[in-house]
Amino acid sequence: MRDLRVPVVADMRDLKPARSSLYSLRKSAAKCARFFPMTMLAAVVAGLGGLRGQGPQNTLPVSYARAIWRVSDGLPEDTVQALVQAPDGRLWIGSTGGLATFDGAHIRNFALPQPISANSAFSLAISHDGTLWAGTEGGGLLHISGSAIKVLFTESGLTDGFVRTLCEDSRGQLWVGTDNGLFRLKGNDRLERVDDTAAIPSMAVHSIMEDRDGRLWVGGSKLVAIRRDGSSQPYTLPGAYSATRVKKILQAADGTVWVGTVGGLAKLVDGHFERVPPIRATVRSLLQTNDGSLWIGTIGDGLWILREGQLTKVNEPGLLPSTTILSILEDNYGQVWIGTQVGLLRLSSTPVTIVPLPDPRDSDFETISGDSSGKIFVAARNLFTIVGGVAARARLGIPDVTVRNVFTAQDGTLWVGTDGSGVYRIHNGQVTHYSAPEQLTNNFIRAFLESHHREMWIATDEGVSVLTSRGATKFTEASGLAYFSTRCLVEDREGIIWVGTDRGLSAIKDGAFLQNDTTRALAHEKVWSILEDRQGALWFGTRDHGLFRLQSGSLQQYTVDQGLTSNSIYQLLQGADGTFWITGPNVIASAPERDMNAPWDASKDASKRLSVAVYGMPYGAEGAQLYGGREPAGYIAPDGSVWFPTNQGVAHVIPRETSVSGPSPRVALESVEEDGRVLSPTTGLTVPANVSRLIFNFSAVYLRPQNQLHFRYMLESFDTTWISSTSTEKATYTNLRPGHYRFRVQAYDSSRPQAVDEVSIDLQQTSHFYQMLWFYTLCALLLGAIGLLTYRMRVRQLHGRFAAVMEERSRLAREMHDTIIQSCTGVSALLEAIAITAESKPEVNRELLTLARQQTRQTIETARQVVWNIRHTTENDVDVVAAIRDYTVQIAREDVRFTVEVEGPQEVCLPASTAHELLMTVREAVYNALQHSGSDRIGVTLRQQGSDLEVAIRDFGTGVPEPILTHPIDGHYGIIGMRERMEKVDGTFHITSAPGSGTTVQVQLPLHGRKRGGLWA
Amino acid sequence: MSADKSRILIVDDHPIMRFGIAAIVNAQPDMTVAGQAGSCAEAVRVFREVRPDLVLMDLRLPDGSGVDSIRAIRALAPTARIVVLTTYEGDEDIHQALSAGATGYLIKGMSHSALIQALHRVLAGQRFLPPFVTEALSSRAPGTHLSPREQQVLQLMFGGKSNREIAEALEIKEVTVKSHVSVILMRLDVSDRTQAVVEGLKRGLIHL
Repeated sequence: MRDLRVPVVADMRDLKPARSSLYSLRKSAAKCARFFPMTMLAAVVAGLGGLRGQGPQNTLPVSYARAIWRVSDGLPEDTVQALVQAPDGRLWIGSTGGLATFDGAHIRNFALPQPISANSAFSLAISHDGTLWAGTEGGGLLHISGSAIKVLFTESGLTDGFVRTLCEDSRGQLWVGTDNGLFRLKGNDRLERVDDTAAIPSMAVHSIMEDRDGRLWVGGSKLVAIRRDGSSQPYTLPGAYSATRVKKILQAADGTVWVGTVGGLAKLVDGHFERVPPIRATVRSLLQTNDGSLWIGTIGDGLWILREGQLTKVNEPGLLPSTTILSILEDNYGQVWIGTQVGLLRLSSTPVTIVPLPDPRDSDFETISGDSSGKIFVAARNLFTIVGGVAARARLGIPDVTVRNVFTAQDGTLWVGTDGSGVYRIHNGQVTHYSAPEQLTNNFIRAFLESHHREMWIATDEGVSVLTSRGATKFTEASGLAYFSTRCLVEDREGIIWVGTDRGLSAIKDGAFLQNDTTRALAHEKVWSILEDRQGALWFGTRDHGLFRLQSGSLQQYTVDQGLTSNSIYQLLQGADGTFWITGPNVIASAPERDMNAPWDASKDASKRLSVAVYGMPYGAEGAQLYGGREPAGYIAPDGSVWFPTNQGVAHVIPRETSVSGPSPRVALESVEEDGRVLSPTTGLTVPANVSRLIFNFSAVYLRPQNQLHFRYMLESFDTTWISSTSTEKATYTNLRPGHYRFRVQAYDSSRPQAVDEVSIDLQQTSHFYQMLWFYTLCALLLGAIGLLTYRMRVRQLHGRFAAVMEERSRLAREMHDTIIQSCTGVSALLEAIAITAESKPEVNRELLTLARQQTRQTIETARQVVWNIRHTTENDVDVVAAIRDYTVQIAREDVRFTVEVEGPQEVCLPASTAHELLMTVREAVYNALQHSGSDRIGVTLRQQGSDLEVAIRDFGTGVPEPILTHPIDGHYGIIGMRERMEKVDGTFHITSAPGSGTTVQVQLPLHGRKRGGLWA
Repeated sequence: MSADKSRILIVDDHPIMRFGIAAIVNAQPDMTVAGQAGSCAEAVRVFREVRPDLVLMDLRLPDGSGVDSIRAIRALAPTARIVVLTTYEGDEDIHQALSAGATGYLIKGMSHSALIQALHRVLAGQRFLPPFVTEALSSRAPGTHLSPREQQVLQLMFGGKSNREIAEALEIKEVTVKSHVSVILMRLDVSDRTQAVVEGLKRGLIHL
C-alpha cells in the first residue's frame, strides 16, 4: 500500500465485486464527460481523480490516431508476439511467421536461414552492442548481427527450443528463459542452464526482469528473485496454482514490481504480491509509458490502462482489432505499438478530437464560429451550438432556413447568413431580415465582415453588399468587382477592404476600387482566405497556388516547396500566441509565427523550409475532409483551442507544445538502379557509359506518421536546387552526361525542417569511348589519314585514267597512222600518178587504178578493223581456230576448197589484240592465195609447237616468183605487212614458194608471255 | 632512161606509196626513179649503189628514223639533195630533218604538181619548205630542246608510267626522274604531265 500514492486504488481494493467496480469506472467517465470535452474515439483516460478534486488538466482526454499493419501490408503473419526498437530506430517485429523490420513505411521480412525448425519468433531483445537476440518457438535462440544469423540450440547447450523470454542484465549478461529451464550465455555461443539447482528450482520461464537493485526476477511456473550472489528468493502469488503462472514481470518507475499472471495482475506490496482487481484475464504484456501510465495487455480481455491510479479498460469501439494483446512497446516518439493476433497497431496521441454532430446527416456542414462566451456555432444542415463539448440544435428565433454562417458582431449582434434566404440580424431578440435585391446582391451568403466603421460587409455567391445605418451599398462585377463569386472579406489596418473571389482579388477603399500590384498579381487566383497577421502582413490563401504574403508592398509566395503541406488553402487563422493555422482539403497544419514572418529570400534560401506541424486525425476520423470557401471555415475560441469543420464532425484542436520529441528521420539510400539493374552501393558508384536511366531509391527510418516525413534530393553538378519529394521515395535521372556527380538525399520532419538527416553518394558517369578526348583525337587523325589516302588514290586513279586514255588514244593514233593515213597517202600518191599518166601509158594507168581500188577497199576494211578493235578494248580472249573457220566460211567460193586443220586442242585462245594481228595476217595470206595463186585448194593448218602456235596457209597454185618474195614492190604487197604484224606480236613470218607447186606462209607466235597493252613495250 | 634525167631515190616503207610516187616521178620527162628503199639501211645501201640526184625520204621507217638516214647519206655525200616526204610529224621533226641536211620538206598527200615543183626547186639547188613548215620553224620556241634522256622520260610519261615505273624502266633513281619531269614541265611551259605529253606530241618530241 505504501507504494500506492493514488488513493483511488486503495478505494478500489475495497470494492468487492469486480463488476461493480468496472461499472463505477464507466459511470465516472460518463460524469466526467459532462464537464469536459468528450471524445468518442480515443482511448479515454478519464481520471476518477477529477471527481476527487484533482486539477482538470490531469483528466484531459487523450486522443489517439491509429494505424494498423497486417499481412496485406507486409507482415509475415498477423500474430505479432514481440516488439523491440533497434538503436537505429527501426522496429523489430517477432511474428508467428518470422521476423520483420519496420522503418515506419516499409515492412521488410527478415529471411531466416533454413533449416530452422521453427519460424515463429516469440521473444526479442536488443543487446548492448546493438545486435538482436531472437527466441523462437521450438527453434532455439538466434543471434542476428547485421545480416549474419547465428543459431544457438542443443549444440550450444540449449536443451529446450521454446525460448519464451530474453533479458540482458545491466552487466551485459544474457538470460534465456525457456519452457524448461533458465539459461545464461557463456562466452559467445554456449548456454548454461542455471535452474534446477539447490539455489534455483527447476522451472518453466516466461519472463525475466532485472530490478533496480540488480535482482533478477524470473517468472514462469514459479516466481523467484535471484540475487547477484546467486541465492534466490521464491515468491508466492495469490490465487490458485493454475492462475499463478507468471507471464510478465515489470518494475514501474516508482519501484513497484508488477506481475502479470494467467489469473490477472499482481503487485508487490510489503514483500507480498496482491492481486489487482478487476483484471481476471491472463496478463500477457505490461508496459509503463513515459507519462507514467501502466499499459496492461490481456489475453481475451483487451487493454487496460492504469493512469494516475485510475484503472480503465480501453473500450473504444473498433480501436483495438482484437481483445488479445500479445506485446506492447513505446517507441522513442512516445507512440505505443501493440502486437495483436490480427496485426500491429500504432497509437499516436493527437491534440485533435472530433465532436460529432447529433444527426449524422448534419456532418456535411460548412462553417464554424463562436462568441466571446465560448459558445460555438456550427452551421450545418441545421444550426448547432457546442457547449461543454456537446453539440445541440440551436434555436435562434428565425424561420426554418438553412444557415450557412453565423457572425457575432462586437456589440453581440448575431448575423446569420443563409443558403438562399439572405441575412438575419438578431439583436436583443429583434430579428431583421435582409435579402436580395433590396439590400443584398444575392441571397446565398459566403462571408461577413464588420468594418471599423461598423459597416456590415456581406459577401455572397454574387457580389458584395455593405449594410450601414444609412442604407445598403452593392459591389458587383458591373461596378468593378474582380469577379462575381466572392469568397472572403478582410479589412486591413489602413481601412482597405479586401475581397477574395474565385477569380482575383478586389481592394476597396472608401467605396472605390483600388488597383495595385497585388490585385494584378492575384488576378487569376481563387482567393479563399485572407488574414492580416499581428505584424500587419496580409496573407492571401489561394485555392491552387498556396499562400501569398504582402508586406511593405512586396508579395512573397509560399507553396509546398517552402514546406506547406498543400497548395490548396481553405482557411488561414492566427492564434493568440501568433501560431498560424492553415487548413487544406484534408489537412490541419500549423506554423510558428517566427517562421512565417522570417525574412525570406527565395533565391538565397532555396532550401529553407517552414516548420509546419500536421495534426493527425484521431481514430475514426482518418481521412476527414475539411471545408472551405465559406467563411468562417475555422475558429479560434477564446480559450485558444481551434475549431474546424470536417465531414466527420467538428475537429477540435487543443494546442500544446508542438515540437516533436524523439530523433529526426534517419535517411538511407536503399539502392541504385542502373537501367533496372539494382545495386546497393556503399561508397562510390561508377556508372557504365551505356547506362541511360539511373534511379536512386531511398527511404527513411521514421516511426511517426509519414505525412510529416519529407524528402528532398539533389544531384550535384546536375540539379541546381533541392527537389522536394513527399510521395515517391526515388529520384530518376536519364541520360546523364559523363562526369562526376554527388547524389544527396535528405529527410526531415516538416515540423522540424532544420533537423535534417542526409546521405550522399558519389558517382562517376563514365564516358562512352566516343566521348573521350583520345577518341576525338583518333577520329581527327583517322579523318586526316583517310583524306590523305583518298587524295593519293585519287591521284593514282587520275594517273591510271590518264594512262588508259593515253593508251587508247595512242592505239587509235597508231592504227590511224599506220593504216588509214598510210593507205590514204598511198592512194593519194596513186591517184596523183594516174592523173599525170592517163594519156601516155594506159596500161600503167590501169595498173595504178587497180592498185588504187584495191588499196581503197583495203583501207575501208582496215578502218573497219580499227573500229572493231575499239569495240573490244578489253582484251577478251579470242578463239583463233573458230575465228579462222568463220573467216574461211565467209570467203568461201565454189571453185576453191578451204580446209582448216587443227592439231592438238581444237580451241586456241589468244588475247584479242594478238588474235587480231594473227587473223589479219591469215587473211592477207589467204587473200593473196585466192588472188594470185590460182589454186583450187587452200589449206590452213594450226599446230601447237611447244609454247608457240604455228599457223600455215598453203596453196597449190602458181607460186610467187622469187624476186617478189625478196623485193615485194611489184604486186604482193601484203608480205611486208604480214611480217610486221607478226613481229608486233613477237612472232615470226616465213613465206616459201616455188613456181608451180604453191606457196606456204608460215607464222609462229608465242601463246603466252606477250606483254599486254604496252604500246612501246 | 636518159642520162639527162634527174635520178630520184624513193625511200618509204609503204609499197603503195613508193609505187604511186614512182609513177608520178617516172611520168616526168626530166626525172626517173633510180631506186627504191623500204628502210633506213636499205636507203643508205641503195644510195651508195645508185648515187641519185635527189632522195625522197620518209621519216618513219621500220628500222629507225629517216633523220638518221639523212645524216648517213649526208655523211656519204655532203651535197646530196634530200627532200623529206612524210606525214606530218611535228615541229621537232622538221627541225631535226632540216638540221640533218634535208633541203626540202614535203607532206604526203600534196598534189603531184606541188611534188614536182618541190623536186625541181631542190634539184635546182634551192630549199623547198611549204609555208606551214616555215611557220612551225619560226614558232619553235628557243630553249625547248630536251635532252635525249628527257625525251625518253617524256616518252615514258606518254605511256602513263609513274615516276617509279619510269625510274625502273630507265634504271635511274626516282628523284632523278622527278627532276627530269620538272625540267620537262618547265621547258614545255606546262603545268602537268598530261599537258607535257600533249605538247611533246605536238612538237614532235615524242611519237605515237
